[in-house]
Amino acid sequence: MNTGGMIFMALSWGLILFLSAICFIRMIKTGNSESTGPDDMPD
Amino acid sequence: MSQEREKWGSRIGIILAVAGSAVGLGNFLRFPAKATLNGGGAFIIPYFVAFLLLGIPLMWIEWTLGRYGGKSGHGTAPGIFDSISKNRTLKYIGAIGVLGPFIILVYYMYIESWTLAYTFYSFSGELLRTPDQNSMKEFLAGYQGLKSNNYFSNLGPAYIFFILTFAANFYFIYKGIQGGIEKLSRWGMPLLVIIGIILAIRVLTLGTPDSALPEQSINNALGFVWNPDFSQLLNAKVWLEAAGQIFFTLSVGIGVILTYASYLRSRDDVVLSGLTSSSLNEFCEVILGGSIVIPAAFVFFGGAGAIAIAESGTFNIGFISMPLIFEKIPFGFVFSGLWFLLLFIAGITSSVSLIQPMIAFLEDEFKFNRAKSTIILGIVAFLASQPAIFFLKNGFLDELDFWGGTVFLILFATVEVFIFLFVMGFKKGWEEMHSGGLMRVPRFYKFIIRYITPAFLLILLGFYSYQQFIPVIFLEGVNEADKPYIWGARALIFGFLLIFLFMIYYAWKRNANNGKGEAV
Repeated sequence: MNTGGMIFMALSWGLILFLSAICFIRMIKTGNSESTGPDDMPD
Repeated sequence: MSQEREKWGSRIGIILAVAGSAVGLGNFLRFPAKATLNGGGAFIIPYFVAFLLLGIPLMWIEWTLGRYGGKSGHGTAPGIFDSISKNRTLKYIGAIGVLGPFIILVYYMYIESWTLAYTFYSFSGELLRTPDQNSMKEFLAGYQGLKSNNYFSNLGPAYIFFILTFAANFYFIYKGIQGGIEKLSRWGMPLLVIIGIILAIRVLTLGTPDSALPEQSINNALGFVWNPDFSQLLNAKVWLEAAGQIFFTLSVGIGVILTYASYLRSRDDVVLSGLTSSSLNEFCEVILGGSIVIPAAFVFFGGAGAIAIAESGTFNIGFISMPLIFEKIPFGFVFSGLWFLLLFIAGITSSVSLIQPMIAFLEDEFKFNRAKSTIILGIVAFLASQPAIFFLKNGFLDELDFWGGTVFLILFATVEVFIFLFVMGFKKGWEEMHSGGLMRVPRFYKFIIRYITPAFLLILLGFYSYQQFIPVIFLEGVNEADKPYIWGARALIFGFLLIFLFMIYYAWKRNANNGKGEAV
């Protein structure tokens, strides 16, 4: 693998892992596990 | 409303369910082949551009429209579009968003059943006793019933695995959103990721298996996949291939995300959830998918062999090349079994999502209960699947795939975007998107969603029309003997379209008579 390949692979993996980590961390911080509160729409 | 709609039990449940719908065979078979044939590492540039300009906006639009429809008790495009505007024709246009997934379902479960069968034949050791490529092709052709040979004399085994797959799918559907689809996704997706990581690690630690061929090392294999060929970026086709890959991999434009999102509560987040499910899909596609098939093919068959494999098509890669590769690895039957189990999990989490829109339509618009909807749809889907199984060699399945898996997708995505922009109205849509949002969409996406995404979609529609639609519609290159089967597939689709349009008409008329006052 040449330097260009390494850069592209590292950037792609890094970007996706970073995006996934940010999303999941934010989800956990905002109280992921249960779906938010009761539905406010009348049935 | 006569019956309360189900809701997702947890936010992670719907994220995994949407990701499960998106992660399919294409993540592990189509992406690495496309990347290899279109510039290697350089392919990732148009790929990410399409992800940001086309995939993410479409994902957010579908989540938003779906949750909006769910508030008024509609989980499929006809009802959702009707809840946005009382224009009488919109609900009929929405038919594509329910018919499309049903058409895909009709053949997808059969393909999915092959992965279950190959899991069995791998672990039993039978598959890896086939010595070479021709034998492997014979094995697949015999299994599919394309010919009678030493491996299989009839379609019996394939049919048994199809019935098992069919039963598993409808079992999860019968158990409902929380008890079926969510539970499947909560178990299936982590398992899929774990298996994917195991396989990727196995491939990445192959080293140089044949010391007589030092150039066929894993380092060179990764270079083969990732070394950028920037000249390819000047080729418009590469950009469109990347856009097409993003489009298909995220499961946008099918109608399943609309339905899944309709089971959200009215103040559940869609922005962060949509982004999270997309990022999980990208993890499975770029990191896992990019590290298994092509690097392994390079290590054992060299660069020319890997290109030939990439060009040989999705099914050849998955069902012929991969078992041959695993034959050369110690305990190959285990890795082969894991590979097909991975594909089966990817398949079943996608196929249940294809069933759910039609179930939602029957439940929401006809007020059928879950059991009745499941039985009715199960019978219809089972009968409709038969031609795809028995006329496989005549191109019946390919024709269904062309209409359900390509034409309807791009058409429906275009319809969704235009409804979001011009029927719901961008301002209202943007506010709706942010209702309950755990993050704000960056402001520059206002410009992207209004101008770039629709333009991108129209270009994609034009590209596919020119490259695929016209030649396929006019049956270019089709054998005379197969033409009746192709027309049969088209008649089946057209017949279902007519029936479904009538069902929409009848449901709205009935609901209007029942006092809901909705125009027919």
